[in-house]
Order: sequence, then C-alpha cells, then structure tokens
Amino acid sequence: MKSQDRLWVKQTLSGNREAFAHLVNEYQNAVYNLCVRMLGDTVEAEDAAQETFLRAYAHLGSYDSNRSFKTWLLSIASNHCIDRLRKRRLSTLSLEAENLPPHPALTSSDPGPEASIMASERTELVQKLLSKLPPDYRAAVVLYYWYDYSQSEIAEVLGTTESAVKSRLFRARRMMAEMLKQRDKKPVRLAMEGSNG
Amino acid sequence: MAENLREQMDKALEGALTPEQQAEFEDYLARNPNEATLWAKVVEVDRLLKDEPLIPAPQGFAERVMLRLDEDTAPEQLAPDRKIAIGLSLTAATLIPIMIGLLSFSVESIQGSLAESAHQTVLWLMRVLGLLESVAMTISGLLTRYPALSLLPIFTLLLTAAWFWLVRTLTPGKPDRHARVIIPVRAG
Repeated sequence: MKSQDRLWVKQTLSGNREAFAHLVNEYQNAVYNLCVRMLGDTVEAEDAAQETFLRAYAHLGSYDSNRSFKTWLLSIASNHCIDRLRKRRLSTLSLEAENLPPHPALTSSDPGPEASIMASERTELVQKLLSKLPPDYRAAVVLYYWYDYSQSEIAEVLGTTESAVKSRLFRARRMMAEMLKQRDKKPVRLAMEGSNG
Repeated sequence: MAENLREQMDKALEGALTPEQQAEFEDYLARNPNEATLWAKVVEVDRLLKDEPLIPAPQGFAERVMLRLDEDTAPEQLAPDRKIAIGLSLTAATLIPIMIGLLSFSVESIQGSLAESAHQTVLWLMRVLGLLESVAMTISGLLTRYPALSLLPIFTLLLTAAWFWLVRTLTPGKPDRHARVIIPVRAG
C-alpha cells in the first residue's frame, strides 16, 4: 500500500474528511471506469461509483492496511456492480444494454471528428461485447484489460481462485470472439439475400 | 493439445510461447480450421480491449461523493463506540431501578419516592414474569395437544425471510440526488 494512502486512511479514521476527499480524487477514475465498463450506462455507473466510495468510507474500520487500498476499493466496486447486474437481470425493469449510448467522453470532439467517430464505434462495440458476458466474466475481463492486474490479483479482488479467473478470461474471450464471428457473418448473409432477391 | 489449449492461447496472446510451442500451436490451428477462425477473432477481441482507454470520472464527481457523504454516513470506526454507549445506557437504565428496588426490600433507610418507584418497578417486573410464565404454560399445553403447531415459528420465519428477499430483490436502487444528468451525444 502506498504510504500516502495509508496516511489518508489513518486521518480519515480519526475524523478528517479532507483526507477522504484526497482518496476519492486519487481513485475516482479507476472506480468510475470499472463501473461504466461493468454496467454500460453512465448514469448508473456514476451512482455505483459514488456508492462504492460511501461503502468504503462506512467500512474503513475493517480495511486491512496491509492490502492495497486501490485493490480493496475495486473489490467493493466490482462486487457492487455484479450485485446490480444480477438485480437487473431479476428485475423486469432491466435495460437492454445494446441500446445504451456510448460514453460522452469518447463521442466528444476533442481528438477530431473522424478519430472521435472511430473511437466511439470501437467503444460501442467493446461495450456491446462486454454486455453479453455474465457479470463474473465481465469483472475479470475489465480488471485484466484496464487495470493491468495479474490473474492472482484479480482473484484477490473477486474473492476467487486464480484458476477460476484463468477459466473466466479464457471463456470470456472465446464468447466475445464468437460474437464477433456472428457479427461479421450477418452483413454477408444480408448481401447474399439482397443479390438473390 | 486440447487440454493445454487454454494455457497455449494465454501465452500466445502474451507472446510468451517458445518456438516449439508456437509451432505446435500453429500446427493445431492448421488442423482445426474452425478453431483457427475463432482464434483470429480472439486476437481481434484482445486488441480491441487493449486499445480501449480508461474512461475518466465526470466533472465534479469527487464533490458529489463528498456531498453524499455529508448526508449519508459516518465511519464504521465510530459505530461500535456508539453501539456500546447505547448498550451500556440501556443496561444501566434497566439495572439501576432493579437494584434500588431490591435494596428497598431489605434496607429500611432507603426511603422516599425514588425507593418507592423502584420498589414498584420490581413488583411490576415480577407480575410480567408471572404473566410470561402463564403464557409459556399455555403454549406448552397447546404443543402437547397439537404437536404440529411447533412448526409454526419455523414456517413464519421462512415466510418472513422470503418476503424480505423478494422486496430487496425487486426494489430498485436508491436514486442519486446529486448525480449529474448526462445527455448522451451520438457522433455523426
């Protein structure tokens, strides 16, 4: 754990809210990105990310300072998102992830319109692929690709074994590859149907 | 080969195959065209994911977290102390009148309205205990006559647990009063 994090945690526990604000500033991007990637919806992701920090604050007393604070925080975030996804599946109010909009940050005009459109299409595709994965697989993929975590670190975050993580990553990649394969087949089939008709 | 497929693919994605393993892997793909097509897509997925940037938190996110924090919570560290304080107060509030009441039975020097009310509290507690005893005897009698009634508490507990689970599952999350409303912008 970073010594600065340790200090902020200690100060927060002794009642200094300013110290917790430093922790929020430091890890807001990491937590928010995980929530967006997991949930695919910016508004729900913001709520989930805020909830993650509130839970971290409320349970700071049980945090083991020998662990990395970021890992602990991401563990709260991923479990919270997995819970939300399971509830979403159970609830009839669930949204179709396919229809969710891409993140505005990647559709803004900052990198120039063409690059922006390409980035937006790529993001949309990535989000579509992620949205079809079971929540546990999704969490493993997100932690592996966006946080450079090793399989053992992912196992620690998700509270599972390394071999389970390996298996989830392997299956997730194959599932997404199958989806890409199906997606590529569709335009060909449509074109053939068009030429026959 | 099929047994090692997962390991081989992991290593191939990381570029960590030895020349022999690479040859073995390529040979496997050459003999399994379906696997080869899928493998090409796995590589595409891997590249797509690796190229995707981290999405930063929206403007003002940290401030909104701190606002919610001001309204919602207190650190857990303070909670046990508060629980202990409440527990001690309740214990004291129960024990003090009982102690004074018991003393008033034996020590004549304790007089006045405080001793009288404590005395009354003990008598009242004794009456409650008597009532509880008669309720217990009634229940015991009923259970002897109708043993199936003993399942009633378990049934009630299960029903309550199921009800709570259902309510928790179907209740949507608490709306966030401070969340920024983001209007999605579609390119093109």
